[in-house]
Amino acid sequence: MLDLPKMFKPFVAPNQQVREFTPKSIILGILFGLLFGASTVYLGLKIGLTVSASIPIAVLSIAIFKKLGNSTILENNIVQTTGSAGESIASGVTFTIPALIFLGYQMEYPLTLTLAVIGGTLGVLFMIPLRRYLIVKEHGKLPYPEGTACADVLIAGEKGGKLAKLVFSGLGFSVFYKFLMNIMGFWKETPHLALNWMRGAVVSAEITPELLGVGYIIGPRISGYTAAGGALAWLVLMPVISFFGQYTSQPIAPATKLISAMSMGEIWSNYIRYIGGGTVVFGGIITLIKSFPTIWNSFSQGFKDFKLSKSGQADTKLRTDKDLPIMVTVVGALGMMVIISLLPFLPGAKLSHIIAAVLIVILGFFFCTVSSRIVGLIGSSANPISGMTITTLMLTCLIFVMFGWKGKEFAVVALSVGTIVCIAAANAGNTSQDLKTGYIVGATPYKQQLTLIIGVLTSCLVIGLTMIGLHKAGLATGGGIGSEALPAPKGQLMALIIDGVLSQAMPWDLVLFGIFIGLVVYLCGVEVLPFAVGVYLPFSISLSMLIGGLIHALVKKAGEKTDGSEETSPGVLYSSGLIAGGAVMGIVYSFLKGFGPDLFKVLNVGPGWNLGEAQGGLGDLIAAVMFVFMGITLYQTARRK
Amino acid sequence: MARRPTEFVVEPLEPYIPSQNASVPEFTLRSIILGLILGLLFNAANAYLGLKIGLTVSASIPSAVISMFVLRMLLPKIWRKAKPGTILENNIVHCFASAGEAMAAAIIFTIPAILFLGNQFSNSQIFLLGTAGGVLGLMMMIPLRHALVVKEHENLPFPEGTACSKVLVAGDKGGVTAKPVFKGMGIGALFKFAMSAFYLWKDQMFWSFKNFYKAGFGFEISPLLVGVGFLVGPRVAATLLGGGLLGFMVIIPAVAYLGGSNIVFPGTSPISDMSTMAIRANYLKYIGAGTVAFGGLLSIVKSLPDIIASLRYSVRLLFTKSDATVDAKQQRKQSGKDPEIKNIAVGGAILGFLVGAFGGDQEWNQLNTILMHVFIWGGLGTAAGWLVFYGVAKACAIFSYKFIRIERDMPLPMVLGLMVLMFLVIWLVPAFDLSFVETLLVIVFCFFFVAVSSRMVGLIGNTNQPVSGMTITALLFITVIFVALGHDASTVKMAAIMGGAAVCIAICMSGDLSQDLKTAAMVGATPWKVEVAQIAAVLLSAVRSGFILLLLYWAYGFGDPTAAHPNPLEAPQAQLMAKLVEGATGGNLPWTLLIFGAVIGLVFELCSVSALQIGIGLYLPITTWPMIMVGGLLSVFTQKRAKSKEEAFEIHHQGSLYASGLIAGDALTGILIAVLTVGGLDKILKLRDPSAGFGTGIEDLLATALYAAVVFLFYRACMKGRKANA
Repeated sequence: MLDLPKMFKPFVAPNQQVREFTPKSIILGILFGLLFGASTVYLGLKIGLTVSASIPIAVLSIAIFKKLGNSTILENNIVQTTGSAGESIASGVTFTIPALIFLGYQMEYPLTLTLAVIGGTLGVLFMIPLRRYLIVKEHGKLPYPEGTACADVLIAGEKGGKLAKLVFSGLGFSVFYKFLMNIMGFWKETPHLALNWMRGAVVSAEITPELLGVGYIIGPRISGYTAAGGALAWLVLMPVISFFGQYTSQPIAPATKLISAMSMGEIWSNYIRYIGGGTVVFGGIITLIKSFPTIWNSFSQGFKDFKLSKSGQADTKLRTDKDLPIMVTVVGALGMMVIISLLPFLPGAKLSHIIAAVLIVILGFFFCTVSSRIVGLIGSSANPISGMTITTLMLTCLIFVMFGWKGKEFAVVALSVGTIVCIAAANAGNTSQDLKTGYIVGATPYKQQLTLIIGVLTSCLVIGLTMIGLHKAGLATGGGIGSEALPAPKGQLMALIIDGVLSQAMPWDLVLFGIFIGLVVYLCGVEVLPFAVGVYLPFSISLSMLIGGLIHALVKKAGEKTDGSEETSPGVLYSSGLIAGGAVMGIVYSFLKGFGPDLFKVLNVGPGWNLGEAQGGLGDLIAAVMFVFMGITLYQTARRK
Repeated sequence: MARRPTEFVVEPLEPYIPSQNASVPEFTLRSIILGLILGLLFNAANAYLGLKIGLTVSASIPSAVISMFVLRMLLPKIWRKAKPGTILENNIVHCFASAGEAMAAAIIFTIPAILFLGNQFSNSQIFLLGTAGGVLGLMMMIPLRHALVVKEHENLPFPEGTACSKVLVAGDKGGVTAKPVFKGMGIGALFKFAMSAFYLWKDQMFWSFKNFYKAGFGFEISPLLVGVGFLVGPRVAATLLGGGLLGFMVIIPAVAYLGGSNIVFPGTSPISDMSTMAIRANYLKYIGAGTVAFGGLLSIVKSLPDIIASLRYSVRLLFTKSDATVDAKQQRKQSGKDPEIKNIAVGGAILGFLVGAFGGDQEWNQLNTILMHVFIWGGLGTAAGWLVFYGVAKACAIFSYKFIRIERDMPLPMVLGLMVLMFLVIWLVPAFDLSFVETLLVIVFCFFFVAVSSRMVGLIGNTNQPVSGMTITALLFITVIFVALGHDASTVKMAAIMGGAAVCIAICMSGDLSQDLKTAAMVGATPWKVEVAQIAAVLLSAVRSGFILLLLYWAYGFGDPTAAHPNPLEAPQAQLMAKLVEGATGGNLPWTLLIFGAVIGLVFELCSVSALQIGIGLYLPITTWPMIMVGGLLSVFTQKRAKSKEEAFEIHHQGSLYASGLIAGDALTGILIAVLTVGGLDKILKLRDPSAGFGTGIEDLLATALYAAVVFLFYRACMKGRKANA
């Protein structure tokens, strides 16, 4: 048995029988999955924005079920679990599949569908043995900010009272703030400051309420690690690159441009991306080594349970402790391997398919572990999925080159591996947030896992159709994916990287730098993953989270008012509200931008008043004042009894 | 970061030897002689260690253990009539040794900077500087003793002082053995001598990876490294190694990767032509210096609350009357007749001889010079030393009559008098080149930091107190103010270093005295005797520090490798001080690199990792750290094998003694080899040439295997703690 740190009491007690897995909740969840899946594809292709859908779906579900009457918190949870799968797979798909088109490969419906289904399902399956480790055993250590926020929203909707007031005041503030910032455009989302005394150093902060809330929930230690990684990348590595690189008269691989002529963004994408990727991989390996005993334990426990149930013995586990049997993971993963090996529409030698299948399972499991731990530590907004995809591709290509497979057809196979691992990692992150929400509200794990698979299968159909449909319809009018109408910005980015990797200029040196940086911070006793994510991410994200973390530290120092347990401290509840509001407004913003650009132009008055652009302008000042104001509301709320 | 211990068990302050018991011998001749010898050894060993790796280790416990062994076990065995040494004698011996160690640290942190700035120093200069700074530190601390050590007993844990008093008490009850120290010393000395004098095997491996942009890795196999690693523990060792890897596996290859064939300041040749070590010297060192400077200044900022509290406390003390217990009046008659006064006078005579004979700048090449110094100056010194120490001791004994024995400090007028004397020394001696106002400034800085340091070592311990941060701060202020005061531009750097060194020495000595007075209070020693012993130790350390420094400089060279000295001692702190003075006087420094270093410090501080440790790791060659890491791992591994907490403690204690022995044996042999080298004997001793020998692979294997044997012996020595307890 795993030794649990302390028995956590979920909102719905384990011995309580509450309606959960009902037809109406599954149907509503599937509908949301289709809606958010399809719209995410569209928005991802059009404006490159994807926003986590769990919380918005939870809010909508509460509202709809309130109208229909007679529903439970667990039903609402099933709705958001089912529905959120669509969004996370769609964002993984829009990130990778368009890259195939940009690289000149034919995109077909069967291939798209298969990759999405396999990736999405693997993401769910791999989380089955990981749940006990990440969600249960590490409950006190991994905050899962978005999952916690979603649970707070669900509980607030169910229970009302003081708790709901805190969550909804945060949500209200956040919605108002983001409305003024993003839609009205009154101030800049990312004010920045170039440091004149240091060549190539820029400090910027993405001053959104959700990052502040996430920073508060993950606390000063982890947000400090992440910000330290960010400072290393943006205040040391990039200045070092531009300082030592400014003299060279020829481009330094993998770049094709002189460093002295590069912008900060170009330095990031040419060099830091790979360094950060290396550090993330090192952090992932450390994580996997450390979690190996627990994962092993989880597997052996699972097999024991399986044998017991075969011999007909009564299952004595608590309701909230029942996962899908481990055999589902094993059989499922093996099944996927067989399917990949036998896929008729993949080009290249059969052996390469078998190797691809093995790689998918190994790397998929690795990156699912890493992804679900990262979102647990620092939240979904910080999940470096692209870094994982690049690393997967680089490893796959390395192995393929070792076999002597260099043709174009093998590139498609390698890309398939990258795509599946990318989708699996994205969905594992989402799944773990959902399972955390379920853990807090007291859901039954196996029902969540089952409904996640349902969500994956149904939404994939629509996602593939939408994507191909949009592309084909666009082509007919001369504007498929990649045209002005559907630029697919993230897919372009991905294609650029893949092209670099496939054209043999694999920047292993940079990856090695990253690995050594990981080793150094590991030796210093620092948790590597959050640091690594900080190296990879834009500094603006980690800096905002650090501010949230520092507010938490200040509150703790002044004496936090709690009602006994960490989950219900007012600061965390208010932060949950901030995150929820941020997510809701994110959806509203991208819908508005994607489906009603004319209305958006009418509302977006800020740029007309010249509040958006130049550094040091009025926009920067307003931005700073507003962010400080939001921080003060958080501090005051957290200190209030 | 220096962490304040949140929980410690407060035991009432009851001295082991009660105050009424005045019959326990304390300042005996044999304790003086042993103290002088051990002080010399630990001063020399720490000077070598500090110059080599920028860290010094505490001498308190090993010296107490050796002293107990000699006075309690060895002496009675050799000479039947000798009485076993008392705990108070041992305490005096340990005071000498710990003062020697503190002085060594302060001197090697600062004085070599004079060389790096292109000047020379002389023996007499260091002697006067050490005496002035050291005595100032001691005198400024003495008035604070009662308040810090006695009144604040429940608030200030004094970690090292308390630990040392426990060892002394345990030894007095017969539970301490010095065997591990001697065994470690033997092994350390043997290994070092065979390796560095006979050249029987290689002393370091280093690989530069051509395929990975000249990244470098390697390790030095000196026995002191594994000892230091054991003492600092796995956490610090890993951080230092982390800093080293960051430098050699990330920054150096990054520079080579980006630099191409360009010439980048401060380098003077194309980066593509540079070796790994050349890239290190041209770029990495500046980055590391930035990190260390950042860490030092930050440590001051972080301990600002402690600094302000300590300063307020100390200043307030100046205006309150002592409330030490007043004893019966009859004490007055006896107090002047302490039989140990004559011991102290004899000790003073010995010291005077050493100072007179060896404190000057003479050339030691002609018989008549030697004779003249040894006989004339030595003789004069002997007489003066006898007189001065007799007078001081007598005055101390007489004027402190109204207090009980364990409350008798040096009388205040004498303290003030010595301070004025030292002020005059700094002001008037031409070698210092300081004006009246500048001297006053130095004294003010001394007072400020002594007030801080005396209390802070009580709070967080000597090892955690930010000495380098305080010195950096003082040095920067002093330099800037000297420049502003219009000091002659050609000599201002030298004057600033001298002033900064005096402050650094005062900080180290006051911290050490504070700690030793705590030990004294716990074992029940007489404070003024401890204080007099410290003055003697300061004088002695001041004399020999110059010698040792010059000796090591001649034999090994300091700072960057040159043709004559390919493997110099790094003296990292002094290099940093030189760079800071250079920068503060408007020198041409690669500021970009220093800022990179400072930001690296910031990155690690954000992760709650000490920027100072990372900085030292970056600054020194990577070869220093792997074996320190091995020592750190050994300390965890051995303790993990213990069955109980007590056993783990005992294993660690045994290991620490062995580690101190290894360090002392290695370092002292290093100094011995320096003597041989300066004497021209090194060529004769060299038996073979390992770099040519059996070929690289076999030579590497041989040296590593021999070193592994040392580590294994170390492990066995730790495990003795297990049997001792069973």
